[in-house]
Amino acid sequence: MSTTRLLPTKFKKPGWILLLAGLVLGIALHFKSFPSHYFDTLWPSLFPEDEKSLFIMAPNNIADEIASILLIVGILFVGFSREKSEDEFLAMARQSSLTWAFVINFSVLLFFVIFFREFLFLKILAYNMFTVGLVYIARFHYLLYIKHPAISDDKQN
Amino acid sequence: MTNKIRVQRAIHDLTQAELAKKVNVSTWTINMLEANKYNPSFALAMRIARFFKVPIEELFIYEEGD
Repeated sequence: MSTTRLLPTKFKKPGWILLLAGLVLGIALHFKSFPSHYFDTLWPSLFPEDEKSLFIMAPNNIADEIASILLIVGILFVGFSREKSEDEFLAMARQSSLTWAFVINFSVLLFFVIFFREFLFLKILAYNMFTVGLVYIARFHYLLYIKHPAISDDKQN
Repeated sequence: MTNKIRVQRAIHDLTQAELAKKVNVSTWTINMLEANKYNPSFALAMRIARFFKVPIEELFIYEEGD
């Protein structure tokens, strides 16, 4: 992966904040543990069903849209901003993590295609959209900070 | 492939972080190289060998099956 296409390092911290906010909001929405009616508003809608116009402002609860936007932007900022020193090992770690993420995402998809139907299937599809980014970030940070954390300050060792 | 980076680093009295800075890589890379868990690109291998002023084949030892 060309490191010149990565975002600057300063995107990482705001990325974590957005990602965590998106996760908290998403989990709260899933368990319906807060009054989401505060998010009822008019929201732009392209190609609405049963409408002749291509674009309308339709009433919508935008809590899930906000959670999704926070997660997507957070994942992009955290996953694709430069570490302080990018080099070929980090490029390899990124590539390996992306492969992991892709394989896990498709494995989950395969499992749910076979065993789940209708509304539950659609709900899981929506959640599975984020596994690519989340698994990529988890694997990449695992490789760097947990699997190979020890940096020796010893000149003889 | 194994290497003698740790030995050369001790000879030159450098920490992993100092060596990483000198050859313009991350400390992760030096750490992984010394643990023989990562094979460097030819360009990086050359850069490290030139920094230590040793022939590349003396620093990196190719083993059958690599």
